[in-house]
Amino acid sequence: MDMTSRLRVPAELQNLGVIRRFVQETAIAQGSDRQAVADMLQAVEEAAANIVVHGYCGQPGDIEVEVSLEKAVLAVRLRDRATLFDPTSVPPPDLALPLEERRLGGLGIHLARHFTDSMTYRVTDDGRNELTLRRKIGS
Amino acid sequence: MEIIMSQRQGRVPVTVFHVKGDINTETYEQFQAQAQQAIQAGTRYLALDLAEVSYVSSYGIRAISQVFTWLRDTSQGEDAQALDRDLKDGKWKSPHLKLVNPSSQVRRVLTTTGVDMFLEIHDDLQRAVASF
Repeated sequence: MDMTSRLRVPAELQNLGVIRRFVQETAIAQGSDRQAVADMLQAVEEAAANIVVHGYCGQPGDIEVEVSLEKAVLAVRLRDRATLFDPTSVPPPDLALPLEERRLGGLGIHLARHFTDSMTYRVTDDGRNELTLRRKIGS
Repeated sequence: MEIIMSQRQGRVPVTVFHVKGDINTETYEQFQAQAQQAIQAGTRYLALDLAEVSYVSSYGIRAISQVFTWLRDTSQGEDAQALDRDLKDGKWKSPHLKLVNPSSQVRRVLTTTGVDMFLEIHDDLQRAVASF
């Protein structure tokens, strides 16, 4: 049976901790292992920070977070009403460049991609960004 | 996040930051500010003890990189062009900033972002201090 839990918070940096705790507690309660959860938290923090900083750019808005366990895969969906943007289209950073010359968003997305098994994007029927992060459990 | 600072004496005086908590979007500015204060107070060799850090985000990586740059800029007489070339070739590691005791999760972040290409990572604080 699929289990899904949902949280909606204002898109503010101080709420990243709230999002992390929600994902951690929900994923563990649903049966995800600690390594899968730790990897997912790394990805969720990066993706959510990008929504707050680069998506809403300080403007008010919400982030909806949905956590589910679907056939041994931990899935986290982040939905927002910021400007439409597909983070999966961002190319990986050039690690040969000094860090100060790399783009911050690119580095965060690189980490999110690395710590999950897949990262997919779509625009929802009601016009929101939806980023889905998936991480197999037990691997 | 909390930083407890101590001083160790190796071949050179080394400041140690024992960091407790996460270095992320919420804390990276505090981390940078405390490092900047230490550098302004005379620190030239800094070891970051990450044993009690469970999580470093891309903002934390940026902050560590910023501290690396500040410490590099305080050193005199280093050939900047040769340094940049060797840095890109992975032949150069900072003599001023070293990382100690990262968890396996944090170590994965350091390698994924390429930080280990220019910062040494040690498993033992005493050896890290001696290596400066």
